[in-house]
Amino acid sequence: MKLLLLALLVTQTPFGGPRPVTSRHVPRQEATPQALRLVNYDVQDLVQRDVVDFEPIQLGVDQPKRAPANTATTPPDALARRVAACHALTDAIRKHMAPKLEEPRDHLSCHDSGSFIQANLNAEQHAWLTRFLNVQRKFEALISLEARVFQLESGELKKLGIDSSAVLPKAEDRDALLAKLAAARSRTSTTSPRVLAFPNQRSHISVIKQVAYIKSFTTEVVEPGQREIADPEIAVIHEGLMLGVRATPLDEGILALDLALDCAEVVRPIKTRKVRLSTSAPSEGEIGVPEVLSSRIVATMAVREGSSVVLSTPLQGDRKGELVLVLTAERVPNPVSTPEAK
Amino acid sequence: MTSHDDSNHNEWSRNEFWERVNAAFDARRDPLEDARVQQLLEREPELLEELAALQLMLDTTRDAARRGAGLRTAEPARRRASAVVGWAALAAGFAAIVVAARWNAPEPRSPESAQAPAAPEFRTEPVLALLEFRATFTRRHENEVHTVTHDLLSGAQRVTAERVLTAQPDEWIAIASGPKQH
Repeated sequence: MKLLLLALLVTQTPFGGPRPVTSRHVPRQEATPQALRLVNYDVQDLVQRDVVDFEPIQLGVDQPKRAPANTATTPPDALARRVAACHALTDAIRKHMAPKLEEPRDHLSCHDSGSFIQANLNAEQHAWLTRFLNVQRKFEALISLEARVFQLESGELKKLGIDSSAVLPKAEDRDALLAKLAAARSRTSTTSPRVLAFPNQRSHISVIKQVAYIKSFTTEVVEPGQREIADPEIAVIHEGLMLGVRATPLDEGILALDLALDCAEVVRPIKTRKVRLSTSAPSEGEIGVPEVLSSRIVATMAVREGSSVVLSTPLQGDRKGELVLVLTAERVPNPVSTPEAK
Repeated sequence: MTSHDDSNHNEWSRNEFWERVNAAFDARRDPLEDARVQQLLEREPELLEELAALQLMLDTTRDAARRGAGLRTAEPARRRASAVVGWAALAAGFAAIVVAARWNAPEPRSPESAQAPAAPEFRTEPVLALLEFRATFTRRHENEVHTVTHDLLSGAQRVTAERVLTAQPDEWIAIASGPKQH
């Protein structure tokens, strides 16, 4: 009966349209003595996406050059995409909810169908979640994420008055800092990728270089003559930098940025080691034993739309310096937003 | 007086200045002892900079000529003198080009404006909410992974060293791990 009632509520609501969240709450449990209440939130309209989240490239970790044939990836089906988007939404709620969750007492979970979020919360948390989902529905734009990355000498950013992080409120402030960074004498590299993303969708921006090396040898015995052949295994390390960002609308004009900046570098020259290729013959091969230095900055913060975040991380190894990220997140109209899409 | 007359007057002054400077050099005298040169320098202080550059170049040439004299004692003094005059003419030409370029600039540059133009200042504001901020540094070499994690919000640091079994890449063994508070 409850399921029938739930189905009726879902079908009576126009798909993706402005839907009063309170009318779709289906109480499954009366308020407990701790004032917790379990509610199913219908999020179908928020998890329908054509753009699929994908696994980012792993920096600094060696990977086989040729992927085995049996691991060819197939695009996830609609259910998998919906479930993944529902989990992402649940994670964002869990991270930003106020008052904070004290799991396992109060908790959130994504339904197997990917269409509902089950929330066992107190009244204040339910009010926050209702408001949060309303903000997501009203936000029909895309989010432009523009990253500028500079490599500077250590202490150069501090000379400009920024220790390791800062927020620049306006575009003029960002442009002024960028001009100073661009004019820095020690600047050695700059990249400025830009990406458009849906709200609450993780985007990855990477500038990488593949470094291939011989990781090992496999000895095969072949006919005729039972000859031993050394087959080299080529591995690839991705070095460079990668920025992963998820922007979530938190309130009118306020975005939560969940970002991770990764930087990896293979130490040159790559060290090598000789290995014996055969048990019967004294033949040797040379394999690479690369040393990889990597750094990662993870930050979650709330900023105003149009403002820019500055983060820096020191470089490792012999190269003294720092990597400076200036990330601007702003709302841009969604060109494909149609009444049908709503 | 029109600007055209001004520029003609300046040109004459400059010509006179360099004539007197060259005459002083030819007579092995210091051009700065010449009263007229001093007057022209008061009127156009930029010339002093050019004169200093010329003096430096002549000194360098003279030193080189002295060093060369030790090796080429038979070289006639006239050739050395002509070389000095040639260098002087070259330097004077270079100085004239520099000055002409400066005259074409919209305004004479003061010592302050001679530096790079100051970029506009920027303003920062505090983050509305900072929920997480940490940095992780990793060094991977052969079968060892060494990681240091800084929690920039709490100031805590965690150091981890792990050894990877190369025969079974999916298996990791922690050989040392533990939080370290600052």
